[in-house]
Amino acid sequence: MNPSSTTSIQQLVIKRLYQTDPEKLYDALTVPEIMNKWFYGTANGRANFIGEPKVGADYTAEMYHESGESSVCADYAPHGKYLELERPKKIVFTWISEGFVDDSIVTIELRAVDGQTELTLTHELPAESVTPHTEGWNNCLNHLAELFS
Amino acid sequence: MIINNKVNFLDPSLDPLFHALSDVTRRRMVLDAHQKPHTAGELARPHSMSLPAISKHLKVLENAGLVHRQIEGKTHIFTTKTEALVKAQSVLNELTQFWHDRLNELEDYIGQERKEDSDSEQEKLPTELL
Repeated sequence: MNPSSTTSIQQLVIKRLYQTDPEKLYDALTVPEIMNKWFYGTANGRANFIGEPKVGADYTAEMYHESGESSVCADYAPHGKYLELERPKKIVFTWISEGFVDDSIVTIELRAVDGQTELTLTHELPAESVTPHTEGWNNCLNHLAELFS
Repeated sequence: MIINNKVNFLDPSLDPLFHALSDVTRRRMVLDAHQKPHTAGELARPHSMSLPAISKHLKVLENAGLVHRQIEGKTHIFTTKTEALVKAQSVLNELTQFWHDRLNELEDYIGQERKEDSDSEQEKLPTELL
């Protein structure tokens, strides 16, 4: 059992259009108080984002399921470090998901398009983690869209 | 003996075990891990589910004592714990045994009644029923 030697890396790319300007979208993607409103990867749940948007700073994205067993600790808590922050264009951070992804990089790029903002999320991942991450990111990005609807 | 059976079957400590087994995603995970040790990623693969959901299912199984998580470096490896499966099986067996015993007693009782009926006041019964 040696996953590092056998796992191939794949690129997950998601594009979304948001009814807002790049500055507001950038803030929603980096300010912890706003991230708490949308950064959870299940259809229902809640988020507790810990980490200030500073290059080199660590973050932990705690995600909880609202229903079911009372959650004392987070059900899922990917974490990492901010690598690049360029308001309102680009956010790059590392992404570690204990047991699933050792180390990966997420790049989010924002671009103004006809009064809206196009978001492009790129996540390089071991092949087996692409499907669950696509599901999780889509859930997160759906919750994010609700902030601007 | 009967009281003992009831206490075992109704023991609240069994709740996490049967709750864990109440979901088809988790039963699939138990089955996979039971066949051979699986990494968290391998257990996630058959399910089109986000990792928070997968992670939650794994925690429920772990808390129920159905799987054991072994961390080797950055890899989390899951195996099943047969003790929990044996426990589930034994309380269910106790319950079926309970009904076997009750039905045997019912059978004895009916046999006894029939015997008593035929032994005495055999002719009185039809008039009473009228």
